[in-house]
Parts: sequence; C-alpha cells; structure tokens
Amino acid sequence: MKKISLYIHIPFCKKKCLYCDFVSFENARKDIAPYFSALYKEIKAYKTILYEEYTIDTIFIGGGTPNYVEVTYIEELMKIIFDTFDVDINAEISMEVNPCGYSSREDFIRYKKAGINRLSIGLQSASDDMLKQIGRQHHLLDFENAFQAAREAGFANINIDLIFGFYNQDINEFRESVRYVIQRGCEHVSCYSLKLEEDTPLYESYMEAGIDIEDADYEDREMYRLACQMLEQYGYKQYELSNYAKEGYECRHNLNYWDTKEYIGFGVAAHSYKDNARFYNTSDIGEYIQSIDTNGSAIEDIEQLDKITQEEEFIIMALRKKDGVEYDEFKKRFGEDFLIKYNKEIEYLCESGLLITDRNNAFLSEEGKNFANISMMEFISK
Amino acid sequence: MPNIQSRIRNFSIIAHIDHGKSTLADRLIEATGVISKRDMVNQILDTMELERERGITIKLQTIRLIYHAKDGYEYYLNLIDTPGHVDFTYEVSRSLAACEGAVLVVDASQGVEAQTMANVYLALENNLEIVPVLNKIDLPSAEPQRVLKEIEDVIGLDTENTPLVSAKEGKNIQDVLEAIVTRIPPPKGEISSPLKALIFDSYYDSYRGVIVSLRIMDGQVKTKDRIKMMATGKCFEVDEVGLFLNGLHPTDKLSAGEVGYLTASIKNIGDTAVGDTITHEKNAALHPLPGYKKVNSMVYCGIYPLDGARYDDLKDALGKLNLNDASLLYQPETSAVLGFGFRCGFLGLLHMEIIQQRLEREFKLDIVATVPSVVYHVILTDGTMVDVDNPTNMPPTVKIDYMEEPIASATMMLPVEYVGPIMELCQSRRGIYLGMHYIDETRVVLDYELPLNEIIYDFFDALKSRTKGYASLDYQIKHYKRSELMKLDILLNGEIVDALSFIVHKEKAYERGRKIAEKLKNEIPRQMFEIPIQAAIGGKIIARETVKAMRKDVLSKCYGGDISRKRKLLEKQKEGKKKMRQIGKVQVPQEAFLSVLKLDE
Repeated sequence: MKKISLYIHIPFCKKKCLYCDFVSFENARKDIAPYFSALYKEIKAYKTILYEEYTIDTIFIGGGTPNYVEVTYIEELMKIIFDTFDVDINAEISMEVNPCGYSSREDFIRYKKAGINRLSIGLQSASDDMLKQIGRQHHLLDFENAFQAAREAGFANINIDLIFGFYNQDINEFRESVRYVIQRGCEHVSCYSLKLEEDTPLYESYMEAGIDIEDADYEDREMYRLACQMLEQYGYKQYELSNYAKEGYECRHNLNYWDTKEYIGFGVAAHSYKDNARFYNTSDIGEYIQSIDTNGSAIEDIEQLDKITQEEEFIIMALRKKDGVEYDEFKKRFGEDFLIKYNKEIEYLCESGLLITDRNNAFLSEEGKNFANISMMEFISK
Repeated sequence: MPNIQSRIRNFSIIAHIDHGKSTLADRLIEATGVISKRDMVNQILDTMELERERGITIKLQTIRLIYHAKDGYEYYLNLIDTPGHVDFTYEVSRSLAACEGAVLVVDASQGVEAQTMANVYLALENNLEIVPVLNKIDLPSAEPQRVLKEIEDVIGLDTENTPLVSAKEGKNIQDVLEAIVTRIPPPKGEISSPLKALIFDSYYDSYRGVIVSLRIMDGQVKTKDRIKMMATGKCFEVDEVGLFLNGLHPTDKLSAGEVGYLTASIKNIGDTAVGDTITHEKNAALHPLPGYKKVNSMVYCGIYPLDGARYDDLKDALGKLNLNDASLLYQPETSAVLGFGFRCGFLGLLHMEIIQQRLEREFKLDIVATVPSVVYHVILTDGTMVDVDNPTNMPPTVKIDYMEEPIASATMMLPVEYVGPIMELCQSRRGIYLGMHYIDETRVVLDYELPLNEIIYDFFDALKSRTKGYASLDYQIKHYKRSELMKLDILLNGEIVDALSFIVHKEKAYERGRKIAEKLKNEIPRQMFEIPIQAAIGGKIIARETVKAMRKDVLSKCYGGDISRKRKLLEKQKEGKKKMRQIGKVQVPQEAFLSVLKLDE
C-alpha cells in the first residue's frame, strides 16, 4: 500500500490577521454548514480513488481557524475520513488551533476522541502589545488557558507558532516570546520570519507609512539567530528553515511536503499532488460549494509536472530541510547523480559559501539559510 | 495627346508626426486602385512593426499611382514617402529633391507644429509647390477656419481651395488627387542629355543586392548600361530598372522625370549613398546634382550583449540592420565592465532608440546600451584636434588645451501658458534664448540655441511632460562651440564603470553626478553586500550613495499548497537575474543603464 497525506482546509476566521493572505473568510458563519456538507461530499468522492491502494499516513486540518467552527463539524469530518479511507494506526493527525478562547478542556477532549493527536497553536508572540499590533484576537492569558486545557485533555504532541520580523519589533520582546515557549515545554516550535504579502492590510499600512520592510531585515536575522540558538540549547533541533522539534517530534505531514511526496487537499483552495500532477480547487467558496454539489469536484486547474520540474521541486523543497538533498534519494527518484548533474551550480554555491556538500548530502550553510532563494534559484532551469 | 512627362507628378506628403500622413497615403493608394481595399493592411507605407506602433515612418517607401483626372487624362503620380522625424532631416530633404511638389498635411484641430514648419522650410528650399490639406475634419475639435488662417499667417501659403479631408473616413480624397494634378508642375528634364539620377533611398535585398530608389533628372537609363556613382566613383552594370507599382515592376528603361528603381548587383549599401548622383560610366554628366552631403552621426553609444556569449549574434544583427540603413555606424569596441560590444553612431536619439528596439524585438537580443554621447572636439596642447564620441577615449587632462561641443538651434512650438516653464527648462539646459513669436493668441514659437549634449539627456521627454504633451520640437546642428567640459565617472563598489562615464559641462557635473548616483541607488537591487555608488571627476568623489546590503532572501513558510506559487516566484526571480549584467561582484539590471538618461522627474 502506498502512503499519502491529507490536508483539509477550514476557511473561516472570526477576524483575519493583518499579515495573512491565506484563503479564509470573516463573517461567513452562514457558509459553514453548506461548506462542510460540500467538504464531506468531496472527501467521500475520493473513496474509490484512494481506497485499497493508499493508506493515509498523515492528516492536517488547517485554516483559517479549524476550532472556530463547532466541534461537531470536526468530529463528523474525522468520522468520515476514518470511514472512507484506510488511515494508518500510527497516523499523525494534526489540527491548527487559535488560542482565543474558542476551545474549552471538554472541546479538546472531543478533538482527541475524534482522532486528532497533534495540535498546532498559533501563539505568534508572548507580548499582548505585539499581538494587538498585528491584529491577533487573543491575549497571552488565552493562550495559557488553551495550552493547559489541551495538555489536560491529553495532547502530548503540541506545536507552538511564533512569528517575527515586524518593522520596529523589539528583539527583547521576541527573546521573551521564545523563552516563554520553551518554558511551556511544547514538543515542536514553528518560528516564521514575516513575509509581507501584497493585498494584506499590513502591506497597505507599511506602504502608507513609507516603510521599506527590507530595512527591518537586519533585526529579522538577529531574531532568527536568537531563536535558533535558544531553541537548540533547549533540545529543539532545527530540521527545516523555520521548524524546530524535540527528537522524534518532527512534523511528518510537513516533511511529506518537503520530501515532495503525495498528498490530497480537500476544501476551498486546497492543493493536491498525486501521480506527478498538481491540482487545486477554486478559491471562491461559493463556487466551491456549487461545483462540489453539481460535479462532486471543484478542481480549478491541473498541472502535469514534467521530469525536470519534478526534479527541481524536489531540490527546492529538500534544501529547506536540515539534511538538504540526499544523493541516494535523488538517484533513486530520478536515476541521476545529483553532484554530477548540477556540478556547475553546486560549485558556484559552495564557493559563495551558501551550500555545503558532504559524503551523502548537500545542504544550506548557516549563511545559506538566510539566502535560501538564491540557492534554490540556481537549480531552476527556466 | 501630351507627352508622357507632362502626365507625371512627383510628390511627397509632409506633416507633423500624428497629423495623419500615413493614413492619407493609404487612402490615395486605395482611391487610385493600385492595391485593392481588401488586400490593404492599414498604412501600407509603414511596413515595419515599429513604425506602425510609433506612428512614424523610418524607411522610405515609394509607390506609383495611376489617376484618371477630371480633365480626362491618365496621370502617373509618384508618391515618395518621407521619414517624419528630425533625425532624418537629410533623408527628408533628399526625398523632397526628387519631387516637384509636396502635400502638406495639417491636423485641423492641432494646427501648425514645429515639424510642419521644418518640413515646409525643407520643401521651400527645394523649390517645391506646396499643396496644403487639412486632415481630421471629422473630429469634433476640428477648427478648419482657424487652422487655415494659421497656415496663411505662419507659413504664408495661399489656402484657397484647400482640400478638407478625413483620411480616416475616406472623405474628400478625390480633392487631394485633383489638387496634385492641377497644382503640382510636371517634371522637367532632357531625355537627350547625359544621365543624371538622384538616389533618394536604397535598401538591401538578399537576392538582388542593393535596390536603389532614384529620380531621373536628365537622360535615360536601361538594363545593361554601365553606370557610375558620382560621389564614390564606383561603377556597376545595371541588371534591372523598373517602377514601384504594387511591388517592383521591371520596365525596359527609365527616362527623365520618372521615379523608379535600379539594381546592379551592388553588394554594399554604402556604395549607394543617399543624395548621390548616378550617371553613365561613358558620356558622364559633367557635374553631379547639387546637395549631396555625407551624413554624420550625431549621437554615439556602446551596445553590448547582456549575455557576452551572444556577441556574434549582435554583430550579425547590426550587419543586417546596416544593410538597409547606411546611416547606422558600428565598429567593435571593448569595455572593461561590459566586455565585447560595438560603438554605434546614430543620426539622433530617436534613431538610436529605434535601432535598440529593433535589436531587441526583431533579433531577440537582450542588450545593454551605454550612456549616449555626442561628438566632442578635443584640441590638444600640441594644436591637433581629435574627435571624441566615447568618454573612455578622452585624452588625459594635461594633454587637453580646450574642448568644443556641438550646438543645435532648436525651435519649439507650444501653447502660450507653458512659455515660462519651457524657458526655465531651456535655461537649465544651458540654452541661449534667440527669440519668440506668436503664431496666434494661444501659441508661440520659441527659438533657442541648445548644446546637443543637453538635448540627448531626455530633453524631449522633459519638454513633453512640462507642456502636457502639447509642445513640439525641431532641431538642427549649427556649429561647434568652445566649452568647459569634463569627464564624469561612476564607480560601483569602488570600480569605475566605463559604460556609465560621460562628458558633461562643468556647471552641471555636480548636479548630474548626484542625480545619477541617486537614480542608480533606486535601480540596483540590494545584494548580499553593501554597494557604494560614487560619482567622480578626476580622482575627486563628488557624490555618494549606498545600496544597503540584503540581509535575507528566503521563503520562511512553505506548505504543500504553496509549492507551485513559490516555484513561480523563484522562476520570476531567476528571469530577473538573467536580465542583470554582472559588473565586478555587482548585479546591475539593464534598466539601470537607461535610467541614468531619465533624470528629469
């Protein structure tokens, strides 16, 4: 049986954060019920496609804010997944959680019972001032309550999200946030450097104020180094550009993406990758509901990846990981010798101090991690 | 029946850019049935894509129309197209020299413009009969009475019976044809005299060699004749003579008064210089036709392939362009930062832009062009003079006694409310005020003497932006004048970028150095290290800016759904990198080289 991952998108938020450009909708309570019926239908329609051939290795329920909707929706969702597919007994099943007071201890118990065994909680910062500035709806106290409730409900694998690199963000504030997270003793930390996306309120406000976000990059890197250093010191190994985990708690679902393995995405704007084709659903929730209703599918476009594109994506994604490109794996997948085929690019990047090669792997140097795009770009042929 | 010469009319259409010259030409062709309406792509005379797009004629085209006039006779109308821009003044004047008359097209809403005037003067110099035509009378903004009065007052033409047409709608085209027949005189010239034919254009055909467009002034020319180019002294045997109908149409001979073409297995277009006189090798004419002059390039710049490996492609492309455009000069040069490329000479800025664009579009070449330069006279302490068209070749200061720069006389026409800003602009460009007069209550003509090196720094754009596009400009080089000039260097990361060096007047050096440094700072993206940008004269730094170091270039978050999007971002980034030129350690975008020319905010 082949392994595959599932992603389920829950595109609802009470309020969107100022920096967020993910597909999610505010004030859309009325869409929740029809959305979930469509989602269930979409999942069931995959039964024949995946059944008997695939076993589900990881599941990730993301958003949006999955715990913004009633717990019953998630319970039903999990029930349908278990009924429809062959879910591995040891599957990693994650759900994103917003700590703004939606979920009680009882709710977490229900999530756990429904089959979810890993939570990812969006703390972002341990400073209430900062949280307010970036448009988050919660306070630190809300997080504390949520985290404790999750632990009490028996969640033994929890990730905490942090974000840094806002203009004028104080490095001491960030240090406190990292320290706070470490003190919680969670198993996994995702620490993201802000990417200012166009069409977000934050971008607009920066533009209005004439702020060049690149001017904050120096501090951004200081914070990045600080996070690496503190987290490593407390046993969180950096296994990807922005992800740190205690031994054995690396997120298998995300590793699956970075290993360019197969996954199916359900829900609005969800992407899938299977049989060397990437396909994705419409980003319009109304259209999604209607298409599922009439066709049982809401695929907007399919891209068949040729061999060279597969190869390039494999390299790009692999370079995100601590171990980078494993020569054996590359050879196994593409039948070619990585070091020989990309000899010129590798030499150039090594000389520039961005890439390091050893007997088995080619991976980004510490400096290379700051300029990952420059290395990745070298491997793109177009 | 009158003899054939009396039924020939040789004419050009002259107009300010956008006044509808090409559209009118199309309508004339259509009306005389040379080419059926169905077969006609709009504006067949402008055949190059670039010409259509910019609405200007670059290469000359000629066509013979057959018109049945109201007097019952059949007339042969040779329409000789002229290029419409100041850079091509000499070519225009040669076309006009092949004609007896010119149709002057004036936009009925815009009125007389600077190039209208310039073309009229050229026509008058060639003793042409000018037939005014008002075009675009269909526009709601058309004011035919006002514009007719303007033509009378400003140009001094009689506007009685002026055809009022709409070339776009094909209205009153017949009136124009009648006016050509009745008002333009037939050609004169003796068939029995020795051959004198004026070359007014030539282009290269890969099968037949150079195809020469000519006007027979005296005598006759036939296939197998041995002919001589009077300026170059080169001799050839005629392969074919013919007329321009819909395409080339061979005939057995061309006689005095006729316009046609000739081929003679000529391989080098330089042997058929525009303005030269063709005669027979034996029984040659004693004197050539008047007016031949060697055209000198006024503006020079270096052109380099963005990717050094494409040097040979660039060389081929320039060679091909040169086949049809003898006024384009090019010779190999080397730049310390750009590698191997070519020094190219142009008639003017527009000519330069057109060549650059053709290289990019027709030959799919990514090029880097250096800062353009005019030709300076450098008088050395030993009394000798050298021409310098490339700042890199400027002799050391100690060897220079003094320098001279070309000065143009510029005529600008503009609405009266913009006189203040334009005088300020001319002043800031070291202009010397010569005079001003009113065309009517709303518009004036401003005359200035301006150094050519000021005109090539986006003067035209500045003029247009300060007058909301209403001003027009015409200029001609008058003379060289002694001037305080110096070489300004730009240093990137401590190294002189020869491609960005230029010669500038002493008074302007500081300001221009500062502006260029600022401009480059905005054009050069951050890189993994800090990049100082300096402007220097001699060894002295006069301005400095810094491109701050890039601290990160990383997509911090990347999930499954993002992969294709992120890949596209990387592809775009890579595409951008390919458009960069590496100078030392610094990646410089192509636009940076151009941007230093656009200093007017």
